[in-house]
Amino acid sequence: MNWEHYKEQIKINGELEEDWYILGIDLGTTNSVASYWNSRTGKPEPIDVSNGFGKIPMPSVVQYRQEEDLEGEWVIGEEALQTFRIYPESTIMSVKRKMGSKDKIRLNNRDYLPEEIAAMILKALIDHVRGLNPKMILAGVVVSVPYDFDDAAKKATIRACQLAGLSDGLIGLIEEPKAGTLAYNFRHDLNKDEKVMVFDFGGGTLDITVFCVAEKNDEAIHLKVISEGGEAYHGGDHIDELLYLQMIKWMEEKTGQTRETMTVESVAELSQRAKETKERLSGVMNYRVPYTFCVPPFVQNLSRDEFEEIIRPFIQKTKALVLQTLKEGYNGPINPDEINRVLLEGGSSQMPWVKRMLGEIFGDTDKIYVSEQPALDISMGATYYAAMKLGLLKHRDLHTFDRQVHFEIPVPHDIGFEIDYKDKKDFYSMIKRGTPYALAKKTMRFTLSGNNDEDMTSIDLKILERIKKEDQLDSCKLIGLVRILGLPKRPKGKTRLEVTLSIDEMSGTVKGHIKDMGYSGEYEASDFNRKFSPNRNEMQIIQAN
Amino acid sequence: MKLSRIHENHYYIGIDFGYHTVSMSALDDRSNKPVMLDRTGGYGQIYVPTHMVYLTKEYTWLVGEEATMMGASEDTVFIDNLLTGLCERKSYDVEGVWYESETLIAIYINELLKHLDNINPNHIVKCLTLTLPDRVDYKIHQLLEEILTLHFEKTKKWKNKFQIHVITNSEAMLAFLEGYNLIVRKQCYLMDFGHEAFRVYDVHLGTHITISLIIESKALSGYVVLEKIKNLLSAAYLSHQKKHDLDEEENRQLQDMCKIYYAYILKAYQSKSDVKITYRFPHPPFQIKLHVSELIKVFEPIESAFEKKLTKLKTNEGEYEVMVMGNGFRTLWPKYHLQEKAFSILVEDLDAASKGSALWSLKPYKKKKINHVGRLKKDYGIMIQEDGAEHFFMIAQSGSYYASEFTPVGLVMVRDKDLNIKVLTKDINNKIEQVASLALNPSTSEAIFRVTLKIEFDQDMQLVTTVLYDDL
Ligand SMILES: Nc1ncnc2c1ncn2[C@@H]1O[C@H](COP(=O)(O)OP(=O)(O)OP(=O)(O)O)[C@@H](O)[C@H]1O
Ligand SMILES: [Mg+2]
Repeated sequence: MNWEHYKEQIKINGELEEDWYILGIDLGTTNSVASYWNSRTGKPEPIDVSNGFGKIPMPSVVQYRQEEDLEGEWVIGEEALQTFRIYPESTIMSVKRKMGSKDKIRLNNRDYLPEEIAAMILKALIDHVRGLNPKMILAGVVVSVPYDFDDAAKKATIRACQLAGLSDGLIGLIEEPKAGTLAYNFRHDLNKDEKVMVFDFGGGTLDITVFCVAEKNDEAIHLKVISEGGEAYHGGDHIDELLYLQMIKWMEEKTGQTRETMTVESVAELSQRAKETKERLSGVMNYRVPYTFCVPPFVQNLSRDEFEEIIRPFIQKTKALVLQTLKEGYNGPINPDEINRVLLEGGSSQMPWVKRMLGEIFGDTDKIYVSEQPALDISMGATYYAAMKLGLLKHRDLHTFDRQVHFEIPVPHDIGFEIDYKDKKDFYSMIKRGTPYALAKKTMRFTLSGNNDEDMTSIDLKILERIKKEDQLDSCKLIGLVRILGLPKRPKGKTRLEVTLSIDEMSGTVKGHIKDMGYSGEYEASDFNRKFSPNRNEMQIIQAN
Repeated sequence: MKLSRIHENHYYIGIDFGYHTVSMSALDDRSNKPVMLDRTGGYGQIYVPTHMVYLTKEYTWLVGEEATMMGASEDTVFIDNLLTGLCERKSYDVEGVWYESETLIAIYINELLKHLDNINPNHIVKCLTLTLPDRVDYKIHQLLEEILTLHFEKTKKWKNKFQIHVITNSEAMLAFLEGYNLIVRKQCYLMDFGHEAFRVYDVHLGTHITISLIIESKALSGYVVLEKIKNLLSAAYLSHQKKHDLDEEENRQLQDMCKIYYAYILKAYQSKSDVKITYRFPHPPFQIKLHVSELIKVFEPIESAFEKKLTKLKTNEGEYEVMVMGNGFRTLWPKYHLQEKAFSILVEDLDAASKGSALWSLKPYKKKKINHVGRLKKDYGIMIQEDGAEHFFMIAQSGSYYASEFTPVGLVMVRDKDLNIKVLTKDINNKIEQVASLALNPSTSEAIFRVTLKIEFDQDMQLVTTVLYDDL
């Protein structure tokens, strides 16, 4: 089963069947939320993992407990977070920051990949949805990823979905700020030409997106992303780390105890305290940090000003990222005055300096809106996207909105190859950032050259992604290596190949296609013609003969 | 006909101010329907605890969850039970300045409304309606309306003046029913499973609407549930630590834990499963398991008391429908019993009071349309001696419904002097009249004895008194 199948069915039936569920999942660094499409109300509905007794989001925390002579047990979510201090060594937080890496996480005498841990979070969320309706059939799932996730991290996210039991054809990805944009559009009436900056500042990531209402009439609204920025590894967790280091210093000064002599439990406690202190200082000007585990215990006073001083470089970098996003618009620089509103999403946006800093950039805090539901928006937006993909938002009888929505999503980074210019290697860009997904397909022909038979019958394609415009070749991220062997033997310079790179519209990941073209009249093309999907962790080897 | 849309910057606010929590809603500009406003942004709960704290070093107030968290810190003045304070006309000393309860409530609401500055810096409040539990005296409504107006006149929100209304929960429910075109039946029950009590109102709908309270039970309340949870947590803690009593700090920590585990424990009881409890505050932290049988022992009596109350009500084969409100209905068993007894549920929106008051903000009812029947017209009480003087002691307040549960009073009597109790009424003009005289017949030979006096009213609204002789 895949999207197309369900889309077709929905078109025929004119509605979503009762047991069919469409989900949007915000797989966050700190908190995760799943929403489903409620066809009765025509709106996404977040799933409250506490069943109305607590908080809607589920902490993205996975824990393995092994009590003496008892069977081991996996605990996921709020309870795992609450008991982090009891099981510090087997509690995994912020696994999202490792997605796409080969880092091993050791638990239960086994090594786990980040996507295996993420899969447990996804599975727990999906089980909650199933709790609503045990007969649930999934007709489509969209998971959100940071704008700045590279191809490998996106692929790891898809892999996590597969491990959580979702079937391949039903998985889609959307970048988080774009989901935020969609959620906002459905809640507010935007005017034509209005420009909105979505500033999503979470536990792991800062995502910035600027979109505009390119077209609006009685029938439809056309949203277009005009700039994107931020950084995948710049969020609340990093502030916690800075504060944690400062807190260790205070401990050393006051008690003479050092980091090395601390127990794992104390380290866990202190890192929790750092986060708690940061969060409290969003509401009060002073906070007294208790060091209960020290002998003797003591209390350290910290003011909001002092806190902001500790994280000053971080604040400056945040500001630079906003300015850069404005400067590097897809159609040229954007003046702060052109932005009509700035929408704050994500838990870290609650820190007072965020609003102040944005006020400085935009000269006016009256433009700065905090989302009504920053904790839930991304997952709701992902659900809207899934519903759009399934053709559900086409029905005009949905009472909450009266227009069709078109949403143009661009490719966030330059995608291309490493090219060897004999004396120098460089990045050759095939798909430029800002190209809409639907147009993101580019073909290039090149001629094989070399000194020996091997050179003439094989080729390595090194597919890369340039995260920032100014990045040099060595800071480009590898998307994958594809090695082609056994090409027809022809003289030097007489083999032409055609390589196409494109973006999979559902997942935003890179795929490719290679074809032998022969040599204009002289040599017939062979029937070598293959698809490939590059993978950072494993070289793909293709035999041409 | 199409309703004209509300302007994006215009806010019609409804606030449900309860004994325990407060929630806020506003009309959505796209659908004209009320939506809940969540100052936690979805990270926490939309129900804000009625706690506030004054930070003496920062000269600022915090309300809700933040106040709860800061409550135990140094340099703070912590205030809770705002509504009880208001009903009892309490004042509070905050760093040498005396604040009336109503002023504190105004400050609290002002803090809540700051949320609007965040979500829409260009917002304009058009109207604010506050709903209070039905039990709260009408005079208090007027007082609060005045104080809120005076308070907001001094804030910048006032640059566009707005109306402030204070209404009862049942009035808010009716506004909700009307807003959703649900008034089709002639009669229904309104069930409110709140923090303070479980109440059932009989509502008759027509050109005039009449409401009367027919059941009130304080034993069936969120408060009692919370106490039971606290006892469970304390008992397990003491037995693990091999201690007999809690010290002050432990007591406070357990109080905080109740708030976290309230949800878990009720959920476990609901699904009849064990629940693990982590005590994070002691060193080292530890974990215990509460067995489901312990939960059943505690909560089943509450459940069966609820069931018994229902049997008193007419179901009338669907003629009587039920509107449910209050967080007590968040657990599934009350609804299960309603269904079992073949009540059909007309409205099941636990936030209907808050949403109804937002609708009221857009379209206020004429007060006289709603008729509260079966309310006391006078205060009921007795004369007591205190500091050498004799004065009227109120047991049942005028404006309360006959079916209300009035708190019994304990009295110390001198055997040779006090051989009867006179039950009196007091009207608005402070005119006191005797309505009953109860002869006492103590069996003790001691010079003094103790009695508990309880007053109730029967279905015909006749006074019923009970006197119990207590051991000294
Ligand atoms: N009041 C507060 N003040 C400061 N920071 C806060 C506050 N509340 C939450 N946070 C921080 O917000 C972060 C979590 O935000 P959020 O839930 O948006 O992240 P996420 O979606 O899980 O992460 P990401 O989007 O980066 O993957 C944490 O770092 C948390 O400490
Ligand atoms: Mg997020």
